[in-house]
Amino acid sequence: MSENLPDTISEETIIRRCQDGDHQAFNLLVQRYQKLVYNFIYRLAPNWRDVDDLAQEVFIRVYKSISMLKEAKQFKSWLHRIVINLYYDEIRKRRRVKEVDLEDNPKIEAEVLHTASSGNNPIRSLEEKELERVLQKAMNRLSPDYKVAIMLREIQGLSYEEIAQTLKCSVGTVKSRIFRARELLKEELREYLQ
Amino acid sequence: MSCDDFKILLSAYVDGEVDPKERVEVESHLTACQSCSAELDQLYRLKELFRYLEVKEPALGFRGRLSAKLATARQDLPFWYRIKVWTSEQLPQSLVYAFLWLILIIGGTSIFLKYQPMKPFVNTAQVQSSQLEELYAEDILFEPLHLSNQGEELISFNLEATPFDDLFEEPDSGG
Repeated sequence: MSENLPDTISEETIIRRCQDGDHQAFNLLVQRYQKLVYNFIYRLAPNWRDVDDLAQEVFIRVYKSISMLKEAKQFKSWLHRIVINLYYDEIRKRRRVKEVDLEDNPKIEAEVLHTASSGNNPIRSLEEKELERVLQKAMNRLSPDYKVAIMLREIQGLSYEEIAQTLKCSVGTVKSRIFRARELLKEELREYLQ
Repeated sequence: MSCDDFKILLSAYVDGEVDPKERVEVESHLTACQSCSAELDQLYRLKELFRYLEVKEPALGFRGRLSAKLATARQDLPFWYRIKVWTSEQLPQSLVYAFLWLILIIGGTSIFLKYQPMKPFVNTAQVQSSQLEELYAEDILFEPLHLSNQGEELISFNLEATPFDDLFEEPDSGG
């Protein structure tokens, strides 16, 4: 069953076909979501040098468990949950092996953040790159819970309801985490918000 | 409500995540409170900053490397799922479904036949006389029509006769 799948095929159909073990549908799923997954992991942990491997690990987890996804409509929340679980797993793992933390090493921090901000787009002004650098640096200082909540909102564009579904918590908790994350970011970025 | 209480509402407000009642409350408070208006401006500016985050993409060859890892990951899948994957790769889906339907129909029919009561199959049947007693005992046979003695002793029965007719007698009308 290897007829070519059109790019316009609906997400629900792709997911159903993935659940039936269709490789081509899974390739299409990866194609659609690779940027979203990669960018999200990158923004959660720009200092990790294996973001590419972690994004692939996400898709392997998706591949192994997509047959258990009950509602295709929930795919996006489910995918985000996989990314977040992986992120927390990695934090625990890296703490155990005492990987060098950016906070402890300003030289590495500067180097990584420079790499983070030097994208492929030459048109971007120095000012824009500087704003990206300071924002990323401020986000790196947030606790994982606050960072995840604010990023799901601002980068992934999820509604509070979707974030609550993804994090399996109440909308009130989401509201509170986003509020606190913003309070901390405002503190860090005071001079850029005047 | 104090300004501190409004702060948390303001954060939801900039995200468009307040209900109509809260919106009215926030907006009427903002007209009267300069400090909260300044707070709101800061929140909008903060939201603006997120626009400067460039969308990062995976390196070239991402899917190629992923395919190799998936091939290894496939070995860890449960057996039934590997069968499913194999059939989906090797056979047209319509053929797989046709095969499953065929198994379902054959299985269903054989179960149906196994548990079907004997009565309908005895209609106009010819039964050996040695089995007669058993059949009567099981209420399968009712009224013998005739006996024939061609080779073995064979008897045929008419099931159309109402089996319980003789249980009901006409009541005495004369008394």
